[in-house]
Amino acid sequence: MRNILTIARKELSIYFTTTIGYLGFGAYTFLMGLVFVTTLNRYQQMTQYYLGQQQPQLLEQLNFNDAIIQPMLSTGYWMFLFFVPFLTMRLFAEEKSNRTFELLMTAPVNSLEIVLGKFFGVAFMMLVMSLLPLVFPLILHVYGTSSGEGSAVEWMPVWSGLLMVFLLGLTFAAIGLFISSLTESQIVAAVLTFAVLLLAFVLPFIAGRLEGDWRSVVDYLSPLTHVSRGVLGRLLLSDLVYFGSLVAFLLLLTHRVVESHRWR
Amino acid sequence: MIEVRGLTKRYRDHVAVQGLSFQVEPGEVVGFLGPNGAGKSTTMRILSGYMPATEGQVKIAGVDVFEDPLAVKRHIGYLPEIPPVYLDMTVRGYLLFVARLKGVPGRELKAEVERVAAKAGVDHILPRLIRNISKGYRQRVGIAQALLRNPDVLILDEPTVGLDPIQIDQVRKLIMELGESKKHTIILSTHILSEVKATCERIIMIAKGHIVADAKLADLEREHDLPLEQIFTKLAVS
Repeated sequence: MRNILTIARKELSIYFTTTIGYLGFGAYTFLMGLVFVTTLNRYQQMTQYYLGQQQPQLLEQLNFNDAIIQPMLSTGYWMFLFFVPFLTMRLFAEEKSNRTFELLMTAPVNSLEIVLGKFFGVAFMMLVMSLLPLVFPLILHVYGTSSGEGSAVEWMPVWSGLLMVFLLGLTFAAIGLFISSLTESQIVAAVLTFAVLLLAFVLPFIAGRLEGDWRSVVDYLSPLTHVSRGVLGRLLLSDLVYFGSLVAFLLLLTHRVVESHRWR
Repeated sequence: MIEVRGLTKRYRDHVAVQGLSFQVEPGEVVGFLGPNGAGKSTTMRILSGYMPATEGQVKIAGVDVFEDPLAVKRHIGYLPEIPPVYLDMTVRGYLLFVARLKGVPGRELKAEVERVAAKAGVDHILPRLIRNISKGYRQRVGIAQALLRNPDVLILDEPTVGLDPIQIDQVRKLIMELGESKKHTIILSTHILSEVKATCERIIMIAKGHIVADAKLADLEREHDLPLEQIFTKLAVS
């Protein structure tokens, strides 16, 4: 465990001595802020429109969760498509091209510790990225007023949404980690990771054009199917199992690749 | 301390080293000499446990490298051909990281890092980013890293490559000092003859993957009745 934390800590320290960490978090929060302001504006326009129409029953249905938080969470994980390859490309590729891989492989640590250490490092980045958008519901909570009792924000769906977005981030990070272990070039790792993640985002559209069993298979395979349920506030055990097993499988593959360097 | 028997490494149809056998006693300083491409780095990498051999056996401190690699790695300090430094870490951050990896206990971390930094002559650049220090200093940071936790065996792959004459001299002095302490068994590879002359008692010369000579420096010169330079040329070509 100590070795895993040592490696995770090193990964984090590199994210923050280089510009990667700041640039990633900065750009992400900036874009999320932009989305927040846009959705908030739209919300305001809708309220005014309904008021003008004299239709109070429509106004009743309007709420922060559906109108602002859900779209924000969805945009948030779309952004992972661009940020995750950027974070994961260097994990193994840089070690190999800089020859520091030789240090890790000759240190008294085993391959699993190396893989888990790197994964935990990037997992922490994903955790922060998933929690950063929490500011926006908080703002709504503080400044918004509800028509009835209590908070203007329904918190349970926010938590389930954030959890699923985080799990999606972990899965993407594991994909990036695996791809990075296959190559010496950071650019190849980034482009390949981007391509695979893009495929994951395209799967639901492919599923939409299929029929019958194939449709449900492709639909199940797409991580978006699972995360979108969480964002809507539905937390299913099957979705948790899906992400958990996918991450475990990818880490296992990465471990095999790293281990293979020992007998090549 | 180091026991190598019938070591062979093949990459597909290319044979890098063939049937190497030698022994190094505790406290010895051995120069691993050979022209470029003779198989020096390959041998060093196998000894350090970085890559496996195709055939043969390597034992370090009585433990087989392939059977219990983790135990062996605790005994070894290894400086690869290219110093394995992270450009985006400070010298101190890097040495602390390697010290933790090597299992230096938390309380002793700081003192241990300062000890090796002083030994390798990098104690005055500890806060600097490795990206911003010269090649010679990077090499020395690599040496400092190898010294962490006082390993029984030091494997140094071309430790003076890329250094200026003053730095070469300093690194050689450091190696001699380490050798004289008799606490470490040192095996260093090089293709620079004066280096072996300056630092090593014994020479293992390899050419095209085979051992062509294994003797004390003085004995070798006496036997061939030639200076080392000419013995090297003669054996490397033959």
